[in-house]
Amino acid sequence: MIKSLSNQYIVKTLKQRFIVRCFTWPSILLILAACSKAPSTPNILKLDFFPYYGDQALNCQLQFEVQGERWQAQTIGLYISDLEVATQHQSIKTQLQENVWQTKESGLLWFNSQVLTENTTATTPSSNNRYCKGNDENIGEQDTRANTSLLVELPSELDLNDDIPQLKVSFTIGLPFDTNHANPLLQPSPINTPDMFWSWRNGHKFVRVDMRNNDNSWSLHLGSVGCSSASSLRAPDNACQQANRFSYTIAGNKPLLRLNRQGATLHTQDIKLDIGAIIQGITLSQETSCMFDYSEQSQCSQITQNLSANTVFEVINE
Amino acid sequence: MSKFSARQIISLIVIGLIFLSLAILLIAQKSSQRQEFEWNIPAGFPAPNVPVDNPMTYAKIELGRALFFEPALSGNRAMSCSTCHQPEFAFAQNIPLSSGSTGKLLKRNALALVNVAYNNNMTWAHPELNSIEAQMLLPLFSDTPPEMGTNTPLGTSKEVLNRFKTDDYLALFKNAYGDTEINYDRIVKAIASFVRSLTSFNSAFDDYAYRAKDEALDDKALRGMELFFSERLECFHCHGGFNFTQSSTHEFQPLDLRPFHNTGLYNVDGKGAYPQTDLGLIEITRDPKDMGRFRAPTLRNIAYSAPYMHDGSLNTLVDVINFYAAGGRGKGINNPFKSQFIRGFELTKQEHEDLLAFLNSLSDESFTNNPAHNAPVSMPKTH
Repeated sequence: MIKSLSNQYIVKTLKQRFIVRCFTWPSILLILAACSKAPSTPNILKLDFFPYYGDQALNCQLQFEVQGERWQAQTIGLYISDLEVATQHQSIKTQLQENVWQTKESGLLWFNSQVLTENTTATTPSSNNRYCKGNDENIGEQDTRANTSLLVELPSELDLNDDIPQLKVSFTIGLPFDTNHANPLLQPSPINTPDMFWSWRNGHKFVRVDMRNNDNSWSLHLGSVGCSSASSLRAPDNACQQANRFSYTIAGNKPLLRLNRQGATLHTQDIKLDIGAIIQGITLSQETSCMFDYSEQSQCSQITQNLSANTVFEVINE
Repeated sequence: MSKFSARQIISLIVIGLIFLSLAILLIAQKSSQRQEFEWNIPAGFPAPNVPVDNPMTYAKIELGRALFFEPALSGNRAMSCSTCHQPEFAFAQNIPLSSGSTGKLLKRNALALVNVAYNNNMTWAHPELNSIEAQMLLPLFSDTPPEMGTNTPLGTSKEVLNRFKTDDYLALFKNAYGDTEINYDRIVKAIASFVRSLTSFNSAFDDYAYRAKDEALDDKALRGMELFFSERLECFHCHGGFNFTQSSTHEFQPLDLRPFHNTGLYNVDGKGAYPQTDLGLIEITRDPKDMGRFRAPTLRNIAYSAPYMHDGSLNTLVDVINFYAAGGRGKGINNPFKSQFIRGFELTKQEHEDLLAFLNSLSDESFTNNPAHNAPVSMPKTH
C-alpha cells in the first residue's frame, strides 16, 4: 500500500518527494511497531500420522502384507483441510502453521518410500517402526521430500490444563473448492506440488496412493469429479457431482505429550492412518485401481463408501 | 512587447524542434524493442480473446517457441511438445495414437494446433478446459500415463527448471518477463503465447471466400463447398464458422455452444457404450448423455493432419467421407447417443471427389512452412 502510494508520487517534484518520504518512513516504522506487538507464538498441536494396514504398522519403506503377499506403497499423499478443535464446551475452527507443507488452511501429508528411514535419534519412545525420518521433532528443519505430520495452531482461548488433554480434533481429506480449482501454478506450497495435480479434472488429487507388489500394481487417485465451472451463483458443494471430501473427528483418552518450546507449548498426538480401512473389500490389482475413470465406478464407489464409513484415522493410545 | 527578438524566437523554436525529434527518436527506439503485438490475421477478421493475465508479446512468443521445441522440458528429455505437434502436419502427428516420454501409449490422437487462439474448448472432450494455459498442465504434468513427463518420476519438475538456468534461456526469460526468474507459470504462459500465435488464414478457400478471388477455387472445389454447406450433408452444423468448428469464440462472438458430439464411431454393448479405454466427454461430466461425445475439431489444414477422429481410427479423408456417408461405423450407426445430424447420405463418385477437393482447399501451405512456426534455427542451450 505504502509502496504503491509512493509510486504514484514518484514523478512529482523534489519537494513533494520530500513530503512523501517524511510520511513513508514514519508509517513503515508504525507498521513495524504494530507487528512487534503481534500475538506471541501460538501453542501447537502436532499430529503425527503413521500408516497402517489394519494392525500392521507399515515400515519406513511403506511395506506391508496383504493375504500373504508383500506390497509396497511408493507414495501415500493426502491433502488435509478444515481443521477444528473441540472441547466439552465449544468447537473452534483453527488453522495450520504455515510452512512448505502447509498453508493456513490446508496441509499435505506425503509419505515417500524412498525417503523415509528409521529415525534413530528420535527423542520420543519408538515402537512398531513408528518413527521414521520426516517425523522430526525439530519444526522448521523440515525434510522437503516427505512430511508425516501436521502442525495445528491451538486457539488461545483453550485452557492448556483442562481442555487440551481431552481435545477432539476434526479435519477433512481434500482441498477447499476455491483452492482446488484455482490455477495450481500460482498457489503457494504445498498446493503447487505437481505430484498432486489432477489437471484433466481441473483440480488436485486429494489422495494419492500408488502401490506395487512383485508383478502387479494398484493406484488410488481421489479428488472431486463431475465439476462444473466455479460459479458465483452456486454453492461450491453443488458444483461437483462428487466432491469426494471426507471429514473425520478423532479423540484420545490420555493426556497429550507436552513439550515447552520458544515460549509456547507443543503437544503431540500420534494418529494411525489405516490404509486397510480405505481399501477394504478391494482385491488389489491393476484392474481394480481407482483413478475415477468412468469405467472404474464400482471400485471407486467401494472406496468412497469406505472413506465415509470406516475408521480411517484413529488416535494411537499406547 | 518585444522582449525577444525574432531571431531569438526562431532559434528557440529550432532548439525546441531538435529536442522534440530527439525525444521521438528515443520513444521510437524503445517501442521497437517492445513492439506491440499484431495478429497475423486478415483485415476484417476478429481478433481472438486473450487472457488478461497473459497479453501477447513478441518476447514471450520467442521464448515459447524455443520451449515448444525443447526436449529439456520433458523429465527424461525424450520428447518436446513438437514430438506430437509437428509443424508439417499442422502441429498434429501422423500416427493414430501418440506415446508419452516413457514410451507408454496415450489414448488419443494428437490434435492439430490451428487457430487454437479462438478455441473455447481444448483437447478432444473437456467442457471446462477453456484456455491454452489450463490445457497445458495436462501434457506437462499428467503421470498416468506421462505425456511430456515433466514431473516423471515424481519430484522431477524441480530439477527440470534448473536446466533452463543458462545464459541463453535466462536472456529469453528476462526479455519476456523483465527478470530472470524461471517458473512453470512463466513457461506455460510463454508456450501458450506461441501456440496462440499459430494462425492460419491463407488457404485457397480463404482467397475465394474472404478475398473475393474467383479463380482461387476450381469447379470441383466449388461444387464440394456447396455439398459441405448443404442440409443434405449437414457437415457445417458441427464444423461451422470461419474455423469450421463450433468451439470458436472471439471478440464479437462470446457464446459458447457445446461442441461435443457422438458420431457413431462405436457401440460396444448395443446400448451406446464406447470402448472403456476412452468414453469421451462422460469421463469429465459423468452425464450418461455424454457417452462417446468428442469435440468437432477445426477442418482448416485437415488434409495435413491424418489420421482422423479422437483415436486416429480413420486413416484418410476418403475414409472420413465414407464414414459420415454411412452415418457411422458398424454397430455405431445405431448408437442411441449419436448426433441427430449424422444420418448418412449418398454421394456419387463425382460428388465424393468434389467434397474431397473442397476439404483440400482448406489447406494453408504458408502455415506449415512459416519459419516462425518452426523450430528456431539455433536452439538455446540448456544444462
